[in-house]
Amino acid sequence: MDYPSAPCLERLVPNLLRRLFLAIIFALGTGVATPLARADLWEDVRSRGTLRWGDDAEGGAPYIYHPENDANRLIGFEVEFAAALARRLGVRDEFVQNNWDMLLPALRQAGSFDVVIAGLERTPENLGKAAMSRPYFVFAQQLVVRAGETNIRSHADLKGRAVGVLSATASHRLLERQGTAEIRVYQDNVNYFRDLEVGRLDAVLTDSPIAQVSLAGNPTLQSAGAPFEPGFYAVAVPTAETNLLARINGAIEQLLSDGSLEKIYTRYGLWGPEQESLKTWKPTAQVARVQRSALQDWATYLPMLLRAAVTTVWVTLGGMILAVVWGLGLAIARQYGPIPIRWAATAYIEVFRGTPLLLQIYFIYFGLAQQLGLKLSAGLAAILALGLNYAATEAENYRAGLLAVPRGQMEAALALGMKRRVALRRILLPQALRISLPSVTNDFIAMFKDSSIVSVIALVELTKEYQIRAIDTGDYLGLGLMTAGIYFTLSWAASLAARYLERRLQHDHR
Amino acid sequence: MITVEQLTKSFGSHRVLNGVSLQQAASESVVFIGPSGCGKSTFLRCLNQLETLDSGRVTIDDVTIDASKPVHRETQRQLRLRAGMVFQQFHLFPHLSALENILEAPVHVLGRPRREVEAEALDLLARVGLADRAHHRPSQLSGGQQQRVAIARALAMKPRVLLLDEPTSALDPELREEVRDVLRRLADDGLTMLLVTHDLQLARDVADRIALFHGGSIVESGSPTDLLDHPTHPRTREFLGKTA
Repeated sequence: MDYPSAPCLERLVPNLLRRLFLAIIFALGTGVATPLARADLWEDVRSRGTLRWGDDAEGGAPYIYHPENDANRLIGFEVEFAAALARRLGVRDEFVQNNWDMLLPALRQAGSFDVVIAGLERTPENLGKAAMSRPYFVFAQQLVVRAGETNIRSHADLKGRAVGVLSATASHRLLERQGTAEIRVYQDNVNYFRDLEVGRLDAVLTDSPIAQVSLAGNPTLQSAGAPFEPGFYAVAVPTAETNLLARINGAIEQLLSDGSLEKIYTRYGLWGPEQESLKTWKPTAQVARVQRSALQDWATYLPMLLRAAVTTVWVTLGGMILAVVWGLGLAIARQYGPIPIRWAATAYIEVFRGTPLLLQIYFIYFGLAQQLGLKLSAGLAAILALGLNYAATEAENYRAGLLAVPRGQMEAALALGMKRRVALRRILLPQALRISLPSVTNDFIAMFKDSSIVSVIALVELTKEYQIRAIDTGDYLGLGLMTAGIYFTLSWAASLAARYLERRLQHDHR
Repeated sequence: MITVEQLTKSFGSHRVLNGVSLQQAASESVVFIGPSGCGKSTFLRCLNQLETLDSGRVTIDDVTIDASKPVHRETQRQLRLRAGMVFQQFHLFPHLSALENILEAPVHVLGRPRREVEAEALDLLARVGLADRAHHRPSQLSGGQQQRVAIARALAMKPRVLLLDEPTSALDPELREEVRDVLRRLADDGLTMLLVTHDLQLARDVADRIALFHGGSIVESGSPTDLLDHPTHPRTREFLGKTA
C-alpha cells in the first residue's frame, strides 16, 4: 500500500523521537550524579582556540541573517557581537546552527557548542535552564499594527484581538499573563507581519529590534504606542561553567566600556539611550525558577494539552470529511468520467500525492492570500490542505475498491435495465466502499498524527502545545508522556470505532 | 418475438459469431447446445447488448438494434428491459438480501412503489420455492438457491423474454434439479425463453426447439426428440456422443 503522507510522518516522527531521546538523556543526566570532575569548559575553549556559539540562522534581521546578495555569508548584530566577544577572549568564533527552540536543551546535553547567543532573555525561566551572562542588549516589547489602525493604541487595547507572537518568547508569556488577547503562535518572525498585512491578525507583539527592522521602509505597518516591558538579552552558558561565565562577563563589560558594542549596534541602527544603561547594569537578586517535572504539575498542563487536542481533533475530522467526499468524486471521475475529466482527476491525484503536504499548506495559506487575496483562516486552511491532500489517497483507495468489485456486478445491473449512474450508486459503490473501508480508516488515524504539521500556520494543536510548554518548563519527558498518552488514547479510540464499523459492515455483507 | 438477422461478432481476429439468424415466437422455448467456445454465450450477450454487434440486426419485441446504424444507450436499455438475463455465476448483489435483490430494479429503475413490488417479490420467491429465504444474504444461500433468486430477480422486471446463460453449469449435480424444476414450470406457464446450456436433461425438459451451435453458427435445429434422439448432422452426433 502506498501512503503519500509518508514524508510528513517521516518528518514528524524523528522530530518527536529526537525530543524524547534528548529528554531521556536529560533525565538520566540529572538523575545520576556524575562521579568524575568535569573538565573546565573555558580551558577547552582556550586550548581549542574557538568559541563555538549556537544560534538559528533563520533568526532573521537584525539578529542573524544572510545579506541580500550573498546567501553564504551571515551578518547581524549578534553575529558581530559573537565575533567581538571571541576576539576579546583571545579565540576565534565558530557559528553552530541549531533550531532556535532547542538551543538550551542542546546546550545542556549535546555539547556541540559552548554558549548560546540568540536573543535569549535573562528571565527566571532561562536562569533555571542555564547560567546567563550580564546583558549585552536591552530590548522592549513593541506592538505593531496596520497603518491607519486607530482602535489599537497600546497593549491595553488587545482584548479579543488576534495577536501574533513568536513561540515561547517574552511577548508570548506577556500575552498569556494578560490573558485577554486571542494569541496566535508563530515559529518565525516574518510570517506574522505578512498575516498582519493581509488582515488575519489585528496586531503583532514582538521584540523592539524585530519591529524596528520590519517597520523600516514598510508603509503598510506602524507601531502602536511606545516600547514597554524592557528586558535583556544575555549569553547562555552551561550552568556549572562559572569560569567561562566570568570570562564572558568580563569581556562584555570591556566591549561596553571601550565602545565596541556601540559601534556594532550603531551600524544596525540599534544604539540608543536605553543601551547606555547596560554599562551600569548590576545583577539584581533574580531567582532562578526551579525546574520541576511537569508531571507534578499535571493539573496545570494536562488541561492545556487537552484544549490543544481539541484543535487536533476538529482539524482531523474536518480534513477527513473533505477527503472522503472529494476523494469519492475524484475516484468516480477518474474511473467513469469522460476523457478530459478523467485526465484532470488523474492529474490532480498525481500532483497532490507527488508534492509535500507542508508545501501545500504554505501554498494554500500564504500563497493564495498573496496572489489572489484569498485570506483563509488558519483553521480553514489547515482543513483544506489536509482534506485536499488526503483526497488523492482516498480516491486511490476507492478506485482499488471499485476495481475489486467483480465485473459481473455491473453486467447484472445493466441487464436489469439500470443506467450506468444508477448501477454505480446502487450496486458498485456500496460494495467498493466496504472493500476500501479498512484503508480509509487507516488513513484517518495517519491524518490524526499528520495534523501536527498545521502548526506551521500558527495553529496551536497538540504537538505545538507540547513544544511550547516543553520549552517553557524544560520538561520534555513528563510533557512528552502526557502528550503521547493523549495521542495514543485518541487514536486507539479511533481504531476501536473503525474496527466496530468494519465488523458491522462485514456482518451486513454476509 | 425475437428476430436475429446475420449476426456477426469477432474478438480481435477470432470470429466468434458467423452470421447467425433466428426467429423465435412468443411463448416458445429455444435451447442452444454446443461445445465450449462455440459462441453460444456470446450470442446471448449480444442479444441484450452486453456485447456490441459487428454486423446484423437484433429485434426483441418492438426494439431493434442495427449494427449499421449508431446505437444509443437508451435503445440498449430499452432492449434490456424486454430481455431478462440469468447468468451462469448468478451475479446476485452480495450486499443485499434475496428480497432486496429482487426489489432493486423495479423500485430504482421503474420507480414503482416499494410496498407494491414487495408483494410481487415475495410471490416470486414463493414460486421459486424460497419464501423462507427472503431476508438471507446471497452468501447464506446455496448455489441452487442463489440461481433461483437470480431467476426471480429477472422475472420481477416482467421481461418479454428470459435469456439464460448456462443456468445450471456452476451447480453441483444434486442442486441442478431444483433449478430445472423452476425452469420447467416457467416454460409450462408460457414464458418465452432462450437458453444456452450443456445440460441436456434441462434442454429436453424445457425446449420447444433445440439448436446445435458450432463454429459460430447454427448447424442443425429441430424438436428435442428429433435433434437429441435422431441427429442428422455429423457435428450434432459428435457433440451428443461426447456428452452422453
